[in-house]
Amino acid sequence: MLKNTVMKNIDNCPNEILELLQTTSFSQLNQHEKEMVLMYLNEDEYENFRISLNVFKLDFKDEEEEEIPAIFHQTFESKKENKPYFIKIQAWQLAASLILIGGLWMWTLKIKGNQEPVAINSKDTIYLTANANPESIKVYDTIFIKKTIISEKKSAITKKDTALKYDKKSNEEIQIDQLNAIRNKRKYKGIKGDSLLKNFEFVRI
Amino acid sequence: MILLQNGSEPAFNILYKKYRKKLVHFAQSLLHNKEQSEDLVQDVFIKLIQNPQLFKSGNSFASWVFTIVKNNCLNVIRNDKKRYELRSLHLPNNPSTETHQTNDYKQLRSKINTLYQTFNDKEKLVFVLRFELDLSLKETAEIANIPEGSVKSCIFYLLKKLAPHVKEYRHEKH
Repeated sequence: MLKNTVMKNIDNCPNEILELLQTTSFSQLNQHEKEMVLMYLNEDEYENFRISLNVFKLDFKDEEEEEIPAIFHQTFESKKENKPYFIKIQAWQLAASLILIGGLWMWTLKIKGNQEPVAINSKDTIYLTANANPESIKVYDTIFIKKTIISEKKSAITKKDTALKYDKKSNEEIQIDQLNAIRNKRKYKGIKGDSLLKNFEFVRI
Repeated sequence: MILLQNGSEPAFNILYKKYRKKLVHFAQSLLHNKEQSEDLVQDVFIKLIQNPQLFKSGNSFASWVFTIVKNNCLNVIRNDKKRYELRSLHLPNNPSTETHQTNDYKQLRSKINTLYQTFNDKEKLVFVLRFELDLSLKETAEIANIPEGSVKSCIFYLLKKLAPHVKEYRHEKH
């Protein structure tokens, strides 16, 4: 009955068949396994597949007698030398050592606290308040001067009166003594006698 | 492997004895050079001693170590691509069993070596890992970096190709 059934594609067979192919001959299969196998392979195919799967296996049993090359032992030894050294200690030992170290540290701090003061080189920002002499302080400020100017006719001003001309382009300074010659265009007075110049020496023209 | 992670040398010796030849054979199937394969596997074992913590417990050691060897082989091939393209592909012989082989088996093996050259990279990898080194489906999938389903399909594809030759071998044997 099984021989007449249409065979399924072997690629879709369960992994169990692959395991059976490797371990069991067709004659040793039980009824359920035979039925399962015959859905994908006939008996002859099964046997050929089974032998094919096992005949090419290589035998490596002689390997057990082989000696291990010295290079591996040397590698192990060099690894051990480079390995950091650790000691296994109990929890109470760890706690006791921590307390001891802590106590020593505290004791050291206490000794340092009782010592006489010593000179320490340090840098810091210091704010100083100095008593300054008010007379020596010069205060410069902007002064606004109000003066009534009587307007006169422009025709009264004559260019001939100007004895000294000031050229803006030249960098020469004009001395105050020379200013006598310069006529105030509006007042017909010399700038030398100007009250602003008299009171404030720093004013330059 | 956990013992090795704790620095146990006897644990390493067990792993070395169990896997060295398999790894050399696997490397040889990719590099086609025995000396180079042995050197490569030795380097992998030295790295294993130096950095055993790289292995994550819970995973298969075989999958892990074979994957390292595979990746190292692929790096060697990548760095010397031209040389490997010119080299003829063949299956490495197993020296431990070579002396015990019958003439029939040698004939079968010779046929399979010819057939092996027609396989693609994935099929070659599955053949070596599953048929020769007898690794599990899961381990083969992990090392080859392909899904288990693909490995299974590949196994049956290879079985269909190998079966006629094996059938012939069976008849000659009996």
